Amino acid sequence: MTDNRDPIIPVRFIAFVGQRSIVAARCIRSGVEELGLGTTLFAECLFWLGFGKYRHQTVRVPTIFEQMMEIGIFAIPIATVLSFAIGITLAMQGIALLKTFGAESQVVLAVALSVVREFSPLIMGILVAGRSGSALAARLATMNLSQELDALRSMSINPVRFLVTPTLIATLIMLPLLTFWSDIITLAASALYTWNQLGMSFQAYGVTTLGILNANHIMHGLGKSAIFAVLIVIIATLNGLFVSGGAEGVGRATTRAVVLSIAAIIITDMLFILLVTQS
Amino acid sequence: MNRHPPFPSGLPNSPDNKEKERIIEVENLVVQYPGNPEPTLKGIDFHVYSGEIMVIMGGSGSGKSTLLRQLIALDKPNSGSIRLFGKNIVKIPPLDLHDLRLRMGVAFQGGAMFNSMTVGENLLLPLREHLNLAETQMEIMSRMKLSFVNLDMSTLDKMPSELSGGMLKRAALARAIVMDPLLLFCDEPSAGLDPAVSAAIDDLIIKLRDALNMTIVVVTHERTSAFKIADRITILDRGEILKVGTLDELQNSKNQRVQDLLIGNAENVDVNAWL
Repeated sequence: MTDNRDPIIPVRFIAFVGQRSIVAARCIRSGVEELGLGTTLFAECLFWLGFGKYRHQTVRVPTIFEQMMEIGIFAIPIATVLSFAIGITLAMQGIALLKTFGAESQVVLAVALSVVREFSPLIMGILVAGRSGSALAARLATMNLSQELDALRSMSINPVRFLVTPTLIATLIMLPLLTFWSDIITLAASALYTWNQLGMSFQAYGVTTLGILNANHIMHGLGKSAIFAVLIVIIATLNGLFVSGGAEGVGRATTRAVVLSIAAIIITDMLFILLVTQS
Repeated sequence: MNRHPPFPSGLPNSPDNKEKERIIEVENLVVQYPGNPEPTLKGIDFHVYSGEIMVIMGGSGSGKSTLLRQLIALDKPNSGSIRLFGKNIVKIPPLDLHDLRLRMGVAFQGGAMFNSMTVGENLLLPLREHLNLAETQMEIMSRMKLSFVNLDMSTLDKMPSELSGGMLKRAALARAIVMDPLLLFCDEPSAGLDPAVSAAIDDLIIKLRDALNMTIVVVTHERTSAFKIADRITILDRGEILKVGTLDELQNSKNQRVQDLLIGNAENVDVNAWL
């Protein structure tokens, strides 16, 4: 009797595992490379900020203000709408959940802590990643493909100093400010819903919230948003600077920048919480 | 052929040229990109004299764009040296490179104008970045350069996307010369333009050399344009220099490959590579 088993199958399986291992190793290597490039880029931004004037490459304050307007001020309407909606949603969910324990009034505590420590930095980070991170990646990618970055270099204008550093500083200032704005609007929206549902006055809601929150809680949220700001700008810049493949490449770079930024924000948020709660 | 008179005496080894200052000196330049089995540039040697128009010609894949990127210090070679104004830009400290770049201008193939800025802001950018002058002075400087390249002052307020191909090339030239450089690099200045506009750009390059005494390096694949403007021509072929000389010298060359490339002999040359 002959053996009908295909002797090739184990070989194919080993080949398959080998190929997948190579792909995985390449992904890891590329990830480590990008991490290294990102760190170098961040260090370069700090270098130009601190020592640019000694290299005839001063970081221009008006450019920082222009970027602050673009990243922060022009984002206020959408940030307000989002924060208001989240405030209402959290209050609705909180009251509905706490009602089962007969503890509806504790919604103030739940909303205050979750908003200031989690939701505001996270939502504002995602908003800025989608709005400004994508714009930065698309801008740099387009400039790269149309040789505008080469033109800057040939004019002795360092692109990182001229384009990236002002955006980084502006995002570092505006994202925490947007987060603080979001804290206020979300809590106000929550107060509005709580007044409507439980009859708790705004004053009582405010006093209770201020009693719960301390500077640490607020700094926790603002500190996280500062980290998110760095992540957004560095990821967008890396994707924009290393673009290839014409208009399609610009689209890919922009999408990749937004997806990676959001993923980085969420993972960093988790690690941050882990670090803070463990210590 | 309506050819511009060659550089005085024309011959690179003539006594005149020996006394001329060498603005660019390239020695044994080798560039190999990662992953490529062969070097893109294989030991390039040539020099450019002060005040001449040197045209670098070659087909697709000949390495002329790679050579230009090396000359304007955008990339580093694997080996060899490039001396601009006597300084080796391969091993130059950043501050010296900064000073050097202020003495040179580059007009890129597609213009490379900043699309988020008006033409006026494009011209003002290097002035604002590098000169400590009053805004009015800088505006006067940019207007002078715009009029030098025969562009109307109304162009200042236009966005680069509103300009025609020829106007864009002129605006790019205006930006390249706005800092009064001693050395100008032009990448395919007349590519993609109709013959009349192309001829006007050629005339403009000659005018820049004559009026401002600039040393100009032009990278092009357009034979008509090259023959018109060149004082000397460097022919690149597959990463190597085939011949350097005046048009007369090239035409008298016994190298069949040079002749084929000059004439565009379809039997011996991949003409498509020149288009």
